[in-house]
Amino acid sequence: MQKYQQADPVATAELVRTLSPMLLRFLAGPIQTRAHAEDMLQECWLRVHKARHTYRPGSPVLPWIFAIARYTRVDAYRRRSSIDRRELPSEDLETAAPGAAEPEPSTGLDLWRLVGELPDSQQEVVKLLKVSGMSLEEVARATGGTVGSVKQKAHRAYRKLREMLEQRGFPGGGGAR
Amino acid sequence: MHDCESIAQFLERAGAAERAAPPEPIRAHLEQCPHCRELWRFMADAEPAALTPQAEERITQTLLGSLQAVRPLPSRTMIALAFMAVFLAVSALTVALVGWSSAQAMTTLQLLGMLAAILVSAGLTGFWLSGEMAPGEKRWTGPGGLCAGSLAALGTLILVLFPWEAPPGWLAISIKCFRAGFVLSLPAVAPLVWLLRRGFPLSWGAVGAGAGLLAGMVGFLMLHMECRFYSAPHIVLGHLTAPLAAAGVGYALGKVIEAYQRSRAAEA
Repeated sequence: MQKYQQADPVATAELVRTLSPMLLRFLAGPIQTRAHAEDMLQECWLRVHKARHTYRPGSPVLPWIFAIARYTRVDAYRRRSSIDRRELPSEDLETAAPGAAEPEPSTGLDLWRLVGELPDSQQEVVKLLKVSGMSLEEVARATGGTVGSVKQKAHRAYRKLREMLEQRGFPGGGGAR
Repeated sequence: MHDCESIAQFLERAGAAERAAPPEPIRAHLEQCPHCRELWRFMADAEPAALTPQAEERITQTLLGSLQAVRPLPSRTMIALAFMAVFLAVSALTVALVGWSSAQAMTTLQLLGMLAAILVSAGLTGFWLSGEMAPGEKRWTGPGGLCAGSLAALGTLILVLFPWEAPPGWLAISIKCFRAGFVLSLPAVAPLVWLLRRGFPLSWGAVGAGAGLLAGMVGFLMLHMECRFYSAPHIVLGHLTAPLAAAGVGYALGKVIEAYQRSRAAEA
């Protein structure tokens, strides 16, 4: 990250290669197309680029970068909502155009669908804990919340996910894959 | 023996390494409970999404196209000190301009007690603002908590230090004081915005509220030094509402900036 701040092109490419898969998984939602998720990823990197001077050498990179990713996601969601309010439903058009709604990366996991049914704030915490491997404190920094609130959201999310697994008779032996 | 509830609790605390290799007692429960096992497996598998080489190349080239060395933001403490310096400088100028006749007539406790509380509130607000300038900084409260905490603490101190009486005409004088306090907060806005521009605030609404509160403290300090109407209801209504209103206006302006930025991004 420090080399990126010093305009090292190799470090920049390495940073994009290392962090993009994690960011893409975080940005992608159950109803988005792959193209839309990649657009969001590009927008996220543009924001990271603009904000790179605000990274303080020595501090953890992930909370910093995921905080930016989080706002990118929120902004994209708001934009999407405002477009949806203006436009007519387009399901018919999407089914008519082959490839228009290419599924988002690795939606093969049914548990991702269940995560998609959680409230937004709980979804976000589960995704950050799972995708980035950050600690509770780092997730709190990325979401601008406190450790206590992150812990509470994670606890509620896990409980709800387990309930959903029980209710829907989810297969125990790796049926999610 | 662990139950499902304790598995969820352990999952909250567990880092990536512990999730990948759960300890023995946890493993024993996971072997018996298919739902916890499924949940655990889901959380343990980081499974990042694959990015197409074209997308990766496009992003890399976009960044390399405008890659220049940047100077990292100073430490959070340094920025907080800069905010405090702005507050003190503008306050000193304002008090020098308007006067400090009230300071001579107050008791030492009223004068110094309130001054100390104002300085502490301004210092905390400056430190909070310094955290909002960079993404992913530790945040102990949101803008609402900051404003409510600062103003409640100041309000309580006013009620303790000043007589609880409402002489005739106090309401009209309060409105005059509020106007003066609000207007004299404005000179602090320009240097605060200048400082904030160096950062990359993710929420301009929050930053606006914090900056408004700090600017409003300038007006509050000026009123404390100059207003000779020592009545708790008057100080709460006429003085303390200046930083409250400034924080509200700052928040609204911040939201306007956010909406503008979003519309520009949508056009792009």
